[in-house]
Amino acid sequence: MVPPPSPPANELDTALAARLRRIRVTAAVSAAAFVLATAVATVLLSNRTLSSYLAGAAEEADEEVKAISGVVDQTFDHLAAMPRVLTNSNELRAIAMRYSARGAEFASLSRAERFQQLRRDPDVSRSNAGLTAVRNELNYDLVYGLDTNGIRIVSSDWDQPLSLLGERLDDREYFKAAIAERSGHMFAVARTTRIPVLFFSAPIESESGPVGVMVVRQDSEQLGKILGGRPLSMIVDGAGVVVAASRRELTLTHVGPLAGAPPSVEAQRETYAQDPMRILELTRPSRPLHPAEWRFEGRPYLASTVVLTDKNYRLIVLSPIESLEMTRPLHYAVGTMVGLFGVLVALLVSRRAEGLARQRHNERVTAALNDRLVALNKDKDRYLGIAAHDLRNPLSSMRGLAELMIETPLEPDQQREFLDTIRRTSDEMLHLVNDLLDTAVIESGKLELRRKDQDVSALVQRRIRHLEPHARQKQITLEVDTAPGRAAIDAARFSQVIDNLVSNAIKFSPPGSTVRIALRVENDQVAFSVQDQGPGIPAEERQLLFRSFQKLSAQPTGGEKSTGLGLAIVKKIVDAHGGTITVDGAPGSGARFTATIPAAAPGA
Amino acid sequence: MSDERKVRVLLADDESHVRLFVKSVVTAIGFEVVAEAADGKKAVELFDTAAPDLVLLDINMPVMDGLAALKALRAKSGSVAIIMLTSLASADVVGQSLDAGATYHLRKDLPVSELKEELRDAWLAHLQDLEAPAQ
Repeated sequence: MVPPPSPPANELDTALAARLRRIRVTAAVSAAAFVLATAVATVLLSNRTLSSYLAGAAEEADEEVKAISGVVDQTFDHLAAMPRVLTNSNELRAIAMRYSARGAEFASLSRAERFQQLRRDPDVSRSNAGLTAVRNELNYDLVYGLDTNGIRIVSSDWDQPLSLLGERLDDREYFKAAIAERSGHMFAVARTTRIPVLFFSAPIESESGPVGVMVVRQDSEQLGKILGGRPLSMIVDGAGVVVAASRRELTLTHVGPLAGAPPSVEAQRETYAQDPMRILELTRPSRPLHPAEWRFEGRPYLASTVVLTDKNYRLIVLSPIESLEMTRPLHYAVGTMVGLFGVLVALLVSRRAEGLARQRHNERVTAALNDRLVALNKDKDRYLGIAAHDLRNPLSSMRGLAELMIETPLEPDQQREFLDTIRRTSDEMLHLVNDLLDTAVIESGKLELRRKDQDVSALVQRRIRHLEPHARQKQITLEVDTAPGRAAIDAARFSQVIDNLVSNAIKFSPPGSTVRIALRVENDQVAFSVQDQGPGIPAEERQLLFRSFQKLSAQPTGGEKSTGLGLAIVKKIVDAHGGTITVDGAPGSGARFTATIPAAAPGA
Repeated sequence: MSDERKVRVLLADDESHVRLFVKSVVTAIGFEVVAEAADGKKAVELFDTAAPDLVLLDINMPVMDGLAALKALRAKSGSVAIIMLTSLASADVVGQSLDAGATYHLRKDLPVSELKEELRDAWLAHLQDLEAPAQ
């Protein structure tokens, strides 16, 4: 019976460590992959959601802006129509014809004289009152008429302190446009008020051609009002300058990237009375999701632009998309939570897997330990059986022989033979009991060595002297070849090694043969070897050789007893010294046992 | 069988103290040990020259154990008495040996008086068995 291998505790521990490492790496990789996938998915989904949201918002904004542009167009139409309507007034035409007919004579008067004459003209006064009523009724800034020399002959502000009644305005674009092109509108900054205004003009026609021009002036503040409650709506001229806006401070600024380059500094001064002009800080977001997406004053907007009908103006509306500011962080927060949840799941799963691995490991260790205990217990039972058997035979023989000696009259020779047998048998029993006790001590792990540095060769020679008589009985020669060698050994225990190996050699050697005992010192190792000329040991028996109670095929040659414990004890003692024991030699050519131990105790 | 002629015994046991003890008992009841063997193979070899009436065979022996020797001896002679010497009164070994043609089995750890008695009784029983078919 081959005892089962010791539980591979280290192997199991290594396997557990590897398994735990695998679990942790898998969990970490899974968690990292999940987090990465979640991050990518979050960004992609967020972008997609926001893109489609922005596309919808942009469409809506465009619709609304179109609606507003309709209103603005209408307002422009009304403003453009009003001077034409006024030119239909016969009264106004008569006044215009009268003053235009005076021509150069009236124009050569001083402005103050013209003013006085106009104030004294009852027709003019009546018309002035009429225009004031129109202005007030339609909420215009100013309504007035010019003669063909560009002299303001009627005006809704005739009674105002800064009224320009009588002023010559023939250099004005709207005047020139009305005379040359029979209609006109233009934008300008009112020189006196510095307020941006829009002029709409129309010629007063007669049979002989234009006799004057009617003008309606509207300021940007009034225009801004029609842009409604939208916070950022602007009417922008061809140069990209805001001429009216829902927010007053935006007027006379340049819309920056929403238009071309701002007008030159000269033009800014000339046309807009601005030096320098403020440029709106519209920037593109770092990762725009929509072409109309802009940032202004730190907030996101969608810019919608509509060109106003037949005019040199555009309507630009910035629609706030505040939710964008909130949505993306919300998406990212959800993504982060999903990622964290994944990490948590990976952590929990790996914890659980680790727990299971540990549990399985513990079960395996317990099972291995249990197997070993069962095997050891079986061994113990077997040893006990063998020992009991090996002790009972000699005991019953000894008792029988003693009985015979008591009951039967014996010859002295017979008595001596009986007593010899009893002594020899009790010797063998004592030997077996000693070996059993030794084995018990060694097997229970209580083998304590009292090591002392000493001359091993002297010890070998001392033991050989004790073994010599036994060898001589079998006509066996002990050939001893020892080199002086020192090692830290337990002398009593190492004596057992020498005794057991040498007496084994004697036991299994044929009479007349030689047993060679050698002690060599090499590479800090002391090698003690015993070579016999016995039957040798078959290869298949070598691994069983050093186990307890293994009596193998070789038989003692002189009827000696074998306990089956000697070599097991030798191996344990050599192992305890940190050495090794080997056996070699082919069957038929004898066996050689070599015990090799370190020359000095480890750490000594 | 003549009363003057001593019963010839072949004794096989690997332990010399057992052989000495059993031989003394066998001698004490008036039998004669004509040959001793330390193993079963030796016993089979000695059988022809020793021409025993009774073979005492130990079960546990090196080289050739008692059961193998029993079978070999039974092949040589159907009439010789073969008594197995046991120490373990193990039922399966006893059963096997009886199946293989053992005459009887005897525990060698019995007190001398009992051993003598058992041995004598076994021998007489064997003689009766030998005579029975003749009647």
